[in-house]
Amino acid sequence: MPDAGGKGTPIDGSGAEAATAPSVLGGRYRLVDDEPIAELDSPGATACVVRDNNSPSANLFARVLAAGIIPRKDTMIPLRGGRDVQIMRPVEWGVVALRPLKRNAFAIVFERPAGGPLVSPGAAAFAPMPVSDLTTRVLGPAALALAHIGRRGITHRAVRPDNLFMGGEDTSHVLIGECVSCPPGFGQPAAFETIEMAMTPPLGRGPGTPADDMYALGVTVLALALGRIPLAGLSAEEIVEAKLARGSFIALLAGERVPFGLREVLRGLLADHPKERWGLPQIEQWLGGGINKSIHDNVQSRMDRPITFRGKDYWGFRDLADAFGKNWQAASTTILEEGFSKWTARGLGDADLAEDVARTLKSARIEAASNPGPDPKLVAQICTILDPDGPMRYRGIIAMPNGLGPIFAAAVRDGARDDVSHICDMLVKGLVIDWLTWREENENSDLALALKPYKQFQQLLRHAGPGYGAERCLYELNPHLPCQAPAVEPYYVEKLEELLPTLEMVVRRTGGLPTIYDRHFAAFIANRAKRNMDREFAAMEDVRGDPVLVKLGMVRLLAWLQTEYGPVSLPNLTEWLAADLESAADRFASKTMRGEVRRRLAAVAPQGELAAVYNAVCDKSLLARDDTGRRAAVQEYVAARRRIGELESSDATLGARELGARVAAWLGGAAALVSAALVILG
Amino acid sequence: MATARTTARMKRRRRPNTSAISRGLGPILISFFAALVVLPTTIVATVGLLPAIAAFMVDEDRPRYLFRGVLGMNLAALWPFLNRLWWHGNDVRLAVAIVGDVYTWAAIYGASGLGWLLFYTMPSLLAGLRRFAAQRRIEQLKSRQAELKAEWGAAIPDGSEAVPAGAAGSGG
Repeated sequence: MPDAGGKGTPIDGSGAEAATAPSVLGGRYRLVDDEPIAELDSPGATACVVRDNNSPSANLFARVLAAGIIPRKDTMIPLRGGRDVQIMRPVEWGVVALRPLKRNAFAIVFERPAGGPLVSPGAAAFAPMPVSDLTTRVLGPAALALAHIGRRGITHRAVRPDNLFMGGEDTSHVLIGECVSCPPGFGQPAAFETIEMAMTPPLGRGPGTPADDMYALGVTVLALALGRIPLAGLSAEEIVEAKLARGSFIALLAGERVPFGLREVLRGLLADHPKERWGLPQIEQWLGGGINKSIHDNVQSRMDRPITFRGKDYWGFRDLADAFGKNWQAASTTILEEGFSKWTARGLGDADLAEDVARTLKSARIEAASNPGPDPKLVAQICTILDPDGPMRYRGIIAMPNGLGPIFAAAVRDGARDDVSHICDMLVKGLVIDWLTWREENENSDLALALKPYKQFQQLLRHAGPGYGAERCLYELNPHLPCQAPAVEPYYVEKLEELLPTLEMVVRRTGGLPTIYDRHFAAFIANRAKRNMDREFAAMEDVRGDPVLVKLGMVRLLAWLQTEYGPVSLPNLTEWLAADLESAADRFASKTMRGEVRRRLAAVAPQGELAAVYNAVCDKSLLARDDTGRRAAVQEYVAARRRIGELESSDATLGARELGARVAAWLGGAAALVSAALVILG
Repeated sequence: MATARTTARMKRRRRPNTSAISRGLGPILISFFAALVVLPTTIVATVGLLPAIAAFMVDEDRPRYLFRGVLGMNLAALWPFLNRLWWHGNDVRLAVAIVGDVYTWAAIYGASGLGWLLFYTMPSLLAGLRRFAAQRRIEQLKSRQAELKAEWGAAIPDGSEAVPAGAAGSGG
């Protein structure tokens, strides 16, 4: 793999340029965008034919990701090496320039399965699969594959009928489709997700756990056995409601009889509580004929009396938490009502917890009396108590902690400032930490390690300077997100060494950049540099809002980048910068020095070295000379002004009388002496 | 007893007055007799120095610049006539002839008048000169200010701005 995970064809611009030839990945995989494969399209990606220059007979296809879809690059490397696992294997990946897109995109090349998908994408009904085939060709191998990757800390999160393919030479076995071309759980219909994941928007689900994969496998087996997609046609809310009301197993059956022989395994796989859900050992035991009775449905506890929220009765905590999360402002009012406090106290089994909740609500009511208005943090806390397994819910943002990244990226991309602000709030106010801590208490699991990055995010967000703040968190939460600066966003810059060549190319093609200063540049560099760059950013911060100094700070940062990562010369960028930074010469008070700086800039611009451009403008000795000269000039000017004032105000006749008389006396004396001398000399 | 002491004190006081008169009379008498001895010179000098004597009398300021100036010019004009007197017999007849010569009067009184004129015109002349020099200096300073302004632009404070601390150190 000569270009593992790297660029394919050098990024060189527009669709027009890219249209001259199909893009090539890794120097051998040629993407033929003229030949799409609709049946292999997936949520967030379109499929096209791939030709292998080294092996023309290889059967490959590529998925080209839609703009804004973040691939699971961390998962690609282990999956590429996993030939023994029955999961579609990524062969190569990288950035390509494709004609129809008029932008660069991320593409992943896969080995194309011999057969098509078991179920066509979007099909609600299909021919049921015999139970014997299902258990031997789907359930067993899939459970093995999922457990195998699960042991390596990978979750698949895309197990569904249209992502299963007939594999092998004779299409004798079933291959699980790929899971790396979109965020985890992104393409999963709500029916194939656990209750808590179905409550969460697709982008915010996060990688979840292997138990989530087992649940999806259970739904897939059920769908294949029934010959239809369970709960097809229902909205995600209705599916969640149905699962909460009756438990997943009953809800998904929707009144139909359980396919013969699958009752126990489906009960096990569709258990709503992850700890009761079957894993590989139980499935293998069941496949081997061993008796393994699963625990029966664990429907959420139902209260003896409902609570009314927005005109609807809620009988359980989880569906109420779901409703609160979606209508947080109304929830804020309901939560403060005395009736809610009593209602929750009756339902909470833990007396200490009930007392804590009652105390929290009481103090919130006192707070609300002096400071009226909705309290989103209180709503978030109550939602977590009501539904500890559910997602975080804050001001309409609903996400699992490790699903915040894709949601954040989507909000930034869509320009949803409110959502960005709310996500930052969640991090700064420690809601994620609270959520993880609550689960730790609730599940007795060790999640201390998981808290560490979120504490770091709090620090990053408290610092508003370039290289920190929301942008930095964006890249920290999405380590493979390409640079989102508008100037380079269409070119999918995902590595540090690609940033400057891309800027050079943009300047060459368009004649300039909107601005050299972009907080995304700083945050992207800080994230990818993997070294402490506080010094560089401190220099950018200490500028007191001076736009020229801000630009110079960015040039300094980019100069560092050029020194570390190349390329040696960026003539177009430096020429443009020299023109853009001409106003920086105005930092010098002396006209002569301004001229000198402009001459220097003009001289270094064609060399293509950012450091030279920076040094031309920020020569410390020149600045010191300018400062010294300026002070001396001011002193001289002021002294001259004072002297002029003195001269103008003084009376010239003052003392002239005394002096004139003295001079006259001297002249008389001198005349007498001269006369005497002449007389004597004769 | 007290009366006796007072009387003695008065006697002691009177004694210095007597000696002052005697001390002042001495030189006068000596001068008188000397003048008689060099009578021709005395005649010419007395008549020739009348402008200086007049200046001495009218000049009440201290120091007497008018007197000094007029005396200097007076003497400058007088030396040639004294020189003629001393080298041509030094007798009273020649002295009277010199004094009676209208050119002598014209020279001596003309020179003295020049001394008088200098005393009265020199202050105005000097004031004018000083005014001219100040104007030249102001022009030089303004020209330098313009140069500084052109080189340093906005860094140079306007007239309305406060002078920066420590900025007025060196003179112009």
